[in-house]
Amino acid sequence: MGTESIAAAADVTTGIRLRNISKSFGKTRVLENFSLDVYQGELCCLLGPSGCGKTTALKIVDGLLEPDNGQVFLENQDITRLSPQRRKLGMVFQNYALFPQMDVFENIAYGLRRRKAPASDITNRVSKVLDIVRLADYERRRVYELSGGQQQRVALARALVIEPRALLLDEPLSNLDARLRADMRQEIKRIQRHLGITMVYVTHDQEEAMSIADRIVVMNQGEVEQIGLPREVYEDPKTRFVADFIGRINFIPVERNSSSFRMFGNSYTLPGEFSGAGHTDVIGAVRPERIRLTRDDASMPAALVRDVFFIGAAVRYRLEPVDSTKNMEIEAEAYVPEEVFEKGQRVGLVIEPKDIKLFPK
Amino acid sequence: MMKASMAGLTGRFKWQKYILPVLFFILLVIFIIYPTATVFENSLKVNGDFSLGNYIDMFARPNFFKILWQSSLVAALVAAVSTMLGLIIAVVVLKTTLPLRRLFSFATVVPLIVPGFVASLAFIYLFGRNGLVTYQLLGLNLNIYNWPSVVVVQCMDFTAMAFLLISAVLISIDSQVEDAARDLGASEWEVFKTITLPLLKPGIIAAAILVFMRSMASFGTVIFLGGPFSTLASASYTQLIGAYNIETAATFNAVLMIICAVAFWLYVRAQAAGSRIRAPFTGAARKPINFSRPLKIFFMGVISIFAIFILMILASVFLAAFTRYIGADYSFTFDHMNRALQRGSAGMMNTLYFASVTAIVVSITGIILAYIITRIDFKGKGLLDLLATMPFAIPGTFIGIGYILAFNQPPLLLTGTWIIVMAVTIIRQVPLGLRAGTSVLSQQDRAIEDASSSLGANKITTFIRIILPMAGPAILVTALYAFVSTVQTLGAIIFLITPGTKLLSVDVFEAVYKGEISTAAALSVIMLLLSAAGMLGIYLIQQRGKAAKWVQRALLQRPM
Repeated sequence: MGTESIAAAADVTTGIRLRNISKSFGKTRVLENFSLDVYQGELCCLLGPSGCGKTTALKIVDGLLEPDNGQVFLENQDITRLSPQRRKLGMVFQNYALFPQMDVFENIAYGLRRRKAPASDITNRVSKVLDIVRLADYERRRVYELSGGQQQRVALARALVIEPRALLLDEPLSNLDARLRADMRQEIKRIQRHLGITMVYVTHDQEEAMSIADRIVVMNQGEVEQIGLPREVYEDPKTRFVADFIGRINFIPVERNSSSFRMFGNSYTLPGEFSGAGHTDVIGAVRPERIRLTRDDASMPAALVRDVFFIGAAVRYRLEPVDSTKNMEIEAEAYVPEEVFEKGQRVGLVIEPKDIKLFPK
Repeated sequence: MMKASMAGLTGRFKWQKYILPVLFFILLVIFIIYPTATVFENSLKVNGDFSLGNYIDMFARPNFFKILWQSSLVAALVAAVSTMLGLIIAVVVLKTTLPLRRLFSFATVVPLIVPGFVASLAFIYLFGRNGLVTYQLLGLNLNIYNWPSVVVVQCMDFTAMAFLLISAVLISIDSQVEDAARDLGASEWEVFKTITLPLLKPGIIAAAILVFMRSMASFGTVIFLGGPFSTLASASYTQLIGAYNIETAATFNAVLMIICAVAFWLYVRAQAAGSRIRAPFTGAARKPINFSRPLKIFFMGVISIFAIFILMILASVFLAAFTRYIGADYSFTFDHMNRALQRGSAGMMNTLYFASVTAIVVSITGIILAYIITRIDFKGKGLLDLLATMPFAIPGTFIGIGYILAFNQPPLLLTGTWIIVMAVTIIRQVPLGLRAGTSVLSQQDRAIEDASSSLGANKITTFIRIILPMAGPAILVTALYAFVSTVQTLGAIIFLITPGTKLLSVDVFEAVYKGEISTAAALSVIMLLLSAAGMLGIYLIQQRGKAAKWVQRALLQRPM
C-alpha cells in the first residue's frame, strides 16, 4: 500500500501542513522550498543526516524559529505568525530541557499553571499522565535524581499533559543507551496509539525511524528526498541518497546501451524510465541480503570470498567479483544460509533482476 | 622484574607525593594562619596578658554597636542595590536586543580598574562643595560627607562584580529550557519569572554575599566620604594610624573577620546549592526575552543613569588631572602630571615591580596548587584547599594588621622590608590563582594526561608538557588579573609601607589625605592606565578565544 492510498482513505485529514518553507541562517540555506503534509493521528518521522534541516523544520512547526518564506498550517489554520505560546503544540527536546529547579510534579504542572487550571484539576491530570508514562509515585522527585530514561518520560508527560494538538519530538532518544532506546521506542509508539495523537519525530537513526514511524520523510540538504512507508523507503528507494542512507547497499558499476545493461557479465533489460538518450550513465544498487551465494559454476558470475563475519542473525561476506576491472569489493548477507563459505573460496553470485535498482550516476 | 619496578615506583611515590603539599602547608600556615591567629591573640591581650578586656572595652564603647550596626546596614544596602543593578544590566546585556548593550557592559566593568578611593575622589569633584555638577551646574552647596555618599560610590564600584557573577550564571542557562516554557504556554514575562530568575537565584545570592563582604571590608570610601560616619574597617584604620592603639584595631578587625567568615561560609553553601540545579548545557544559542515596553523603558532608564554616572566619574578624574584646578580653573595643564610623574616615579616603579612579580608567582603557584589538589590523592587535601582559599575571605585591613603584628620579631622580622609587602600582595591573590587553576584543570580531559603517562611520561613531564601548554592562555589571563588587582590594593598594604616600599595606590591615598586633589588625580590617572593596560591584555586574549569565558567565573574571586 503506497503513500497515496493512505491519503486517499476516507477520514484522513491533514494535521500539520508546511508549504514552501525556506530558512537560512546567515548565508547557509537550511531549508529550501520545503513542503510536507503530516496526517492527523500519524507518527511521521523526519529522517536525515545531521545538518539536513530536520530539526529546523520541527522548530518552525513549533514556532521557535520563524521561516523566511512559506506557511505553516495546523488543522487548516495558518499559524505561521503565531508565537509558540499560542500554538498549543507539545515539544520534547533532545536534552529534555526539564526545569532543574522544580520537582517532577512541578515540571509537569507547569503548562497547566500557565493555563490557570484549578489546583484539583492539576493534581488529577498530572497523576493521570504519570500513569500513562509509567512514572506514578515519582511526583516529588527532583529531576536531577532521575535516570535518563525517567527524565525522558517526564519530558514526554510534561508535553502531553496540556493535551497538545500535536506532539513534536526532537531526537528524543539520542541521549539514551541502546537498550533503553529500544524500550522507549516501543513506549512512545504505545502512547501515540493510545492517545491517537499526531506526532512529528525527528531522528538521524534510520533503524529508529523504521521501527517507530507510520511514514518516513527522508531529508537531505534541506530538501525532501522521499516520503513513504518504512518498507517503501527501504525496498524502493527513489534516489541514490535514500538507497545509501537507509540500510546497507552495494553500488555496482554497470554498462548500459539503449535497451539493456550488463552487471558482472550478465545482461538485464533496462527499465523504461532509463531508456532513451537522456541518461548517459547509470549505476546499479543491490542490498547485501539480495545477493545469493552458490557454489561456483561457470554459468554465473563469480567472486572470491575475502572475509566472513558472523553478525548473529546473519553471515556477512566481503566479496571480490572475479571479472571486475578495479579492486572492487561488495558485501553480501545470508540469513538462514544453506551453506557457509570460507575465506578464499570461489563462489557464484545470484542476483534477481527485480533486486537491482538503477540510479543516474 | 616488571613487578619489582612497579612496586619500587609506587613505594617511592608514596613519600614523594607529600613533598609539595607539605611545602605549601608550611608556607600557608606561616603567611595566613600565623598572622590571623596573631590578630586574635592580640585582641585577647591587654598589656601582654590574656584578658577579654579589649572586647569588654569595645562593647562598652558607646559607639561600638552603632559602628557595627552602621557597617552591616551600609553593606547590606550596597549588596541589595548592587545586586539589583547587576541583575538588570546582565539581563539587558545578555537577554534583550536593546540598543547600546555593549556600551552598558563596558561602562559597568570600568570600576574594575577604578579603586573605591579614586572613585570617592571623583565623587567629590563632581558633587562636593565646589562640585562640578552640584555647585557649578546646579548652584547647590551640599554636604556630601555622610553615609549615603558611601553607599552611592560603593554601589558603583561593586555593581561590576555582581554583574559579572550574574552574567556568568546567565550565560550558562540553556535557552532550550526557556523554549520549553514558551511551548507550554508561558508568556515572555512568565518565562523570565518562573524559569530564568529561579535559575539565576544562586548567582544572585552569591553576588549579594560577595558584595556584602567587600563593602564590609572596604575602608577607602568611608574614610574619604563618610565624614562622621565610620565602619569597622575605617575605625580600625583610625585606631591604628590615628591613635596607635593596635590592640583595639586588632579587636575591631577580629569582629570584622568573623562577620566576613560567616558571609563566606554562606557564599560557599550558596554556590554548592546552585551547582545542583544547573540545567545540562546543550550549547543552544542564547535567546532574548521579549520584555514588555514599560519594563524595557524602565531598564533603559536605570542603566543609562548608571552608565552616565560611571563615565562621569571616570571623566572627572582625567579632567582633574589635566586642568589647572578642578572647580575653578579649567585651562589645560600638564603640570599635575609632571609632578605626579616626578613624585610618583618611585611608587610607580614599585607598583609595576610588585604587581608583575605577584602576577607571575600567583599564576604559576595557582596551577601547581590546583594540580596538587585535583590530581594528587593525599590526606588533608580539603584542608589545603581551604587554607589557600582563606585569604579571599580575609579583609585587607585584617591581613595588614596581622602582618605587622606577626612579622615584627626574629626569626621572622620582616616589618619595613619589601618582602612583607610582596608576601601580602602574593598571598592575597593565591585564591584567585587556585580557582583559575582548578577551573582550567577541571575543563581538561583527564584521559589526555592518562595517555601521556601510559606513553611513559612521569607526572612532572606530563605537567610541563601537557597541562601547562593547555592551560597557557588561562594562566596568562590569571596573571593579568592578579596584576590589575595588585595595582589597586590599598587596605592590606597601607600599614606595611615604608618610604622605601611606596606604592602608587598609597601615593594616591596620601595625596587625597593631604588635600592635594589635582596631584591625586594625576597619580590616579597613571594607576588607571596601568590597570587598563592589564585589562586590555585580558580582553585581547579572550577576543582571540584562547582563554574560555569560564575562567572569568573563577577570576571574580579577587581579594578585598
